[in-house]
Amino acid sequence: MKTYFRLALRSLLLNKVRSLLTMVGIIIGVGAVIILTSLVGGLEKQIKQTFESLGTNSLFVFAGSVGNGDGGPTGLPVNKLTYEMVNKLKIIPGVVHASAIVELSGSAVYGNKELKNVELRAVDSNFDQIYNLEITRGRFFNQGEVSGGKMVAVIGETVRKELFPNQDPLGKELKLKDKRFTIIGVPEAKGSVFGQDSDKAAYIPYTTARQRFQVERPTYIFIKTTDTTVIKKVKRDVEKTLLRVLTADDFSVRTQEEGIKFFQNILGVLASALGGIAGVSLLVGGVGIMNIMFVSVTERTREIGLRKAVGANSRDILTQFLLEAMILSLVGGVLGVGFGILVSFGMSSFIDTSLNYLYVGLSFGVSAVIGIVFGVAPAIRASRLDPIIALRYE
Amino acid sequence: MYDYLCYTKTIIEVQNIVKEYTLGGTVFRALRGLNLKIDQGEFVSIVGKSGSGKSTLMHIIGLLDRPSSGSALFAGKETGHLADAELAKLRSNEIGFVFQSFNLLARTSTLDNVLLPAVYTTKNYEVKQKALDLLARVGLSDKLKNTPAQLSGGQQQRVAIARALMNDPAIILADEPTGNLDTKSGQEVLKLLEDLHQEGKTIVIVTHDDDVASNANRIVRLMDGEIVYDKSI
Repeated sequence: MKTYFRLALRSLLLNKVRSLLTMVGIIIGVGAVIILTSLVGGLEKQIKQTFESLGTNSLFVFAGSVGNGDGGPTGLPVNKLTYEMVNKLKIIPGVVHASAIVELSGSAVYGNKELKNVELRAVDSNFDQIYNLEITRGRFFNQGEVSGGKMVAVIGETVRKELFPNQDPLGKELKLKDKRFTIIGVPEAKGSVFGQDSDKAAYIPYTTARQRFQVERPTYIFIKTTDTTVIKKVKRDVEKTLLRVLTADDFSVRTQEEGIKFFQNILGVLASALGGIAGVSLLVGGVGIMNIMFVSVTERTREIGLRKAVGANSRDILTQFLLEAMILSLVGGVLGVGFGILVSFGMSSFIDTSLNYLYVGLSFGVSAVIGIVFGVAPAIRASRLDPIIALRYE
Repeated sequence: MYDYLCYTKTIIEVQNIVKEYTLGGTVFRALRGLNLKIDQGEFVSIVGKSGSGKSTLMHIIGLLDRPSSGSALFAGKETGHLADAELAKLRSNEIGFVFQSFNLLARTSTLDNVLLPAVYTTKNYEVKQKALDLLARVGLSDKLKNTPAQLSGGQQQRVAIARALMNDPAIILADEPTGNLDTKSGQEVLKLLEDLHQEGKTIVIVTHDDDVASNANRIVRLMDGEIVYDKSI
């Protein structure tokens, strides 16, 4: 076997450029599977972290019947959530906190400087504690400012840097969606979440958003319970309360765990889909190997004839050519794994990635199998050549 | 397996062999009931014009092909019923081929070309040393690393002869060994074969050239698939 391996390696090395080019298909295929799945893995990690940072005693009320963990979203729901519901949910036993969260976006303007597409979160006064928002300058808005619908805003680090590069923003007035707000605080920078700058945001009281931006509906309602033991009971009570005014299709209540699971399911499908698409390029790589092996068999017809004349039997020839195809795809697989891991590590400096070793192993395994599958036909053709005819081949 | 080669005198024997090919629906008879015996230590030329059947005969003697009917024996043993793999093993251990067009592996060193038969043999011997000895024997010790493209035709054929000797075969089959060579190189190659014969090797040359054929001790002339002349000189 060692001899055959050396033979196969030798003839591949005789055509270095060709061998390398043949491997490119496999390298790209394996690399793409690893890169894409590690991107999805990174996204999953982010989402999980975001959910987990809220604590396991959290509940979310979304508009519409959101997929329940084993299916996808059932289309775009009509939002029937109201601010009044939040007050009703607050009095359920076991609920420590319930707040409506509105997500908007618009431009932030100060003087002649403008920052577009700022994420505008309209929230309650204790949002900073719930979402672990560390205020490093100034303060977050208080209950009084929320009740009064005051025009106050807490701006993210990116907004501060862009609009107030060399001055203290506290007390300054800026325009958010064309309305004037006084800046009262700046939280600590949080960095990017999957390529999206989470500091390119501003927080305003939800009451203000409701009055000034005519936002009739909260995007979702966030509920915190006393502890995790009551979470199931609170969930049922929340559903019961909402069912008095809404139908079951109008809302869905998710625990943090369910939320994670829901996204994990979506991302699982996404990972499989992307992995599958990348896997197709692996197949294309396999066809490339088959093609070049057929060319190689034809080119080396005389060599095959000679080998048979000096004593090689069909199996010897089959083994040699099959090994060549396998080495091509295995080396391609190894290089692809290296390429994929390198790129996903490289990307991790600006986007979250998480290597999924299952897919690393899987794509490598597939590349190994591809060598056999696509190498068999050319190897069989080589092994069946009649030595007399092969020796005469010009 | 073929230890009894030492005791048996006849290496090659074909009895009443017929070889037919079907070409475009018509049956072409290349060999028509041919009988031939070659003993150990003989130097035989099989000579004939193109189409006389000499190549077909060589393929059958060399175990690359089987007769349509009749029997072919190697060292007294019938080979017609042997599986391809068994024929390959016999070829590997007992037959050395020399071809008109050398058939050396391109971009492969002289040494590796000579080593090639060792890959497939079941015989046990010091492979590398044997190859070096054989290359010394054919006068190419200084060309070990050269590829065929860097050698003259005569040198290439000498490499091919060294390769044919690698597994210490019972017989050397040379198919038009001088066909691609100039007269001088051709003479050298024939001299080499003659020397091998002197050392006791059984040599069979297949050629259309009477001058080449005359180097042998026995001439077998073929015409239209039959032996028309068979005489030792």
